Amino acid sequence: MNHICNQVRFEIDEKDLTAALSSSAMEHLRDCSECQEFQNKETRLRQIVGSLEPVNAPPDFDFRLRARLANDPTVASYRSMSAVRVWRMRSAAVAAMLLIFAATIYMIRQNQPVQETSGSDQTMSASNDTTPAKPAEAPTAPPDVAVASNAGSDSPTEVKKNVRRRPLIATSKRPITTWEPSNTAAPVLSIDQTFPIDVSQPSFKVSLDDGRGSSRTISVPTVSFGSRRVLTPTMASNQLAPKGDW
Amino acid sequence: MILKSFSFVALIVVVGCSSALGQTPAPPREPMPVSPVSPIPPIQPQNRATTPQVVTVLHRLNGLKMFRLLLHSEQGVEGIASLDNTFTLMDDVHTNVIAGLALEDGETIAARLPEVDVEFTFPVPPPPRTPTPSTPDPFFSYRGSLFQSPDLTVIDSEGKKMIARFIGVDGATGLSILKLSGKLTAPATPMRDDKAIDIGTGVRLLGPEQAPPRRFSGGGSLFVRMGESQGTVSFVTFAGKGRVARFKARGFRSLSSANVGGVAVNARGETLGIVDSVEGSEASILPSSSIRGAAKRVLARQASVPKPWLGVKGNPVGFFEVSQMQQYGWEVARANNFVQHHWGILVTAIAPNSPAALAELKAGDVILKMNDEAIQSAEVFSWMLEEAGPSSNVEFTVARPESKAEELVKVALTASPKKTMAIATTKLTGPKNRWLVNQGLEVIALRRLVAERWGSSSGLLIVYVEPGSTAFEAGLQPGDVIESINGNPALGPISDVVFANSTTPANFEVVRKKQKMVVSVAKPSKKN
Repeated sequence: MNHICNQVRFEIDEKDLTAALSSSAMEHLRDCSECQEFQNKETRLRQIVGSLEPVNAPPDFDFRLRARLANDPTVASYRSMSAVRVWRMRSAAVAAMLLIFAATIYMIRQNQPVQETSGSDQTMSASNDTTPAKPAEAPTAPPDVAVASNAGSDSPTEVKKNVRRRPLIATSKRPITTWEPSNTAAPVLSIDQTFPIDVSQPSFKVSLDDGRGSSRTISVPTVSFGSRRVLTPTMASNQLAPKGDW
Repeated sequence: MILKSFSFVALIVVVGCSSALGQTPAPPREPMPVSPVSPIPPIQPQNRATTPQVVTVLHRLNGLKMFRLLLHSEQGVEGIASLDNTFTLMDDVHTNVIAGLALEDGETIAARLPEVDVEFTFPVPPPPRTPTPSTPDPFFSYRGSLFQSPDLTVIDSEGKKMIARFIGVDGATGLSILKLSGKLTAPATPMRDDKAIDIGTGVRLLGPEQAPPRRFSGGGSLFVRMGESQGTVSFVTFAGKGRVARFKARGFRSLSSANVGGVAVNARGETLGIVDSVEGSEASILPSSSIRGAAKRVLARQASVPKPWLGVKGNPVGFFEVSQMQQYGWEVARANNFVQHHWGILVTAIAPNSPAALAELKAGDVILKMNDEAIQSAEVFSWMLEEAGPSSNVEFTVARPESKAEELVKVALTASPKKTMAIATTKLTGPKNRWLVNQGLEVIALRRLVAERWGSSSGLLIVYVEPGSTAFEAGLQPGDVIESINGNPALGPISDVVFANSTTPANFEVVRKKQKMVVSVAKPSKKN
């Protein structure tokens, strides 16, 4: 078994029973007996699972379960225990948050300016040597790169100290972003955005009649994701022409 | 126990605060020796780059549009036998959640809406006013015009919700172009030039997915977040002069048809394209230049732009055996040459009265070049036609079995003839309803129990009226139930005999909001 076999088997695993495999997978299956056997086993297994009857709970199952839980003395004792546990967990959470808060303040203090100048042209010390550094407007320097400079200074030996550049930290409720100052790269997002959408509408359930006396009921999900039709379109109503048709 | 917990918390507070606030200021540290001209080393991103240009689009469909979707589906529906009690005609029954791409202006969105063809073509002038009875019945609950814009909401990367106006669909790419009611919270990251796409380029595929519910979030809400899957570019189809027609990416942890419509970005968050199909473990991606082109075409027209139509069927010559080419009259030596060099499109059929037929292209011709650019694959040929657009003149270089010299053929492309769904569904509705389709109506039969909810005994529910048709001009509306036409039951066979002559209109006895009324529809002229 090689990596192609692995890829093909992964594809077989991922595909629905009725979905067609890619052309490369089909080609591989023609030549690889092991993968053919794997596909046959997979198909058989899925067919067996698919043929199983659904198991339905008795109609009063929910009521009976709740009643039994309510009357069970062990559950009652668990409840009293769990109240204490919940309190402990909350206390621990508060403590952890305070620790994080303290650590954040500590980190900020550590990153504060080493030494601030009163002038507006803040520069960074080049080194301990006294060699005059290139001026800030040196064309080779990126615009927002701090460089050593003696511009504005009366004494040639005096080199103004620069502040250490701090990362920009967003303080709003929005996700914290840090910007890369050296170029125009996209900002970096530290947390994921999750937002609610209203899906309170009832699902669409309809019983269809084929005009020959037989009917069937279909149910359409309330929400679908991605660019796939919730009901398989006919070729005639497909937006895009089939391949080889211009 | 409680006392212990309190003392523990108090201890942590004291320790934490003393370590942070009670600390003396940090002693001045030795500055880092930095070369005067060397840039500050870039901050290594700890996480993924943001993609404010990738938005979430919600497209909601009401009950009426869902009926239309049913008609266009493979369900083989003839009539509605029963409906759920909670169903109302004009309330939303389905929401499609899909990725959208904000273009650089921060107002234009491109998205591959899968169910946009059940919406009305826009702009649609409202039909003539016919007396519409008012009814408090929530089953109808009409909100505004039946011909209003599709219900589209865009949620940007910061969670800001905005209404979007539908401008049109670009038939060549299948992309819908929308305009936002406001600006995005964060500026859209620019699209990457196609030249930067190469095999091995990292691709992040973004698209909305369901998130775990929040605690205490209550019912009726579903949480959505931007999902991501990472892969690499595996194949690039060039269309001459370094332009990219399509590219493919693979290596994603999971890939399914739900990824179609997702936005592909690079590691820096710059847009590479939109996924237009998924085959096996590979995603085919429409590059950003094609997205720009689609937006330009639709915005210039402020309406949908049909797919350009040539009227040929065929395949790249590499698909054929020499013996198959011989059937079209090709000599073995010449056929061999084409098959081995794998370029050009062998035409196998020509549609009557199509631009190709008018230009005298024939089955067996091999289209080698379009506007002097070689056609190396079917994708490239499709891309070239898309770029040209409908109503454009193109020049093909054609090789023919009967002639050894290549010939130049000028073709005037037109819009795809499948301009309306009403025409497309002619095959679906059967001969009984074909007559109605020709009047610009799409209908679905209501059985007795269902029809009662409309205040009718039985009839045909109108789910679509073609703008500009005689039925539209007469004021027939989606939601009306046609009970009879000139006294003939609507569920029976209907034909042109309902028109006594070309000047006498047909009287449609309809039920609108549980009120019976008669709408006179003129016979369509031959050109319709």
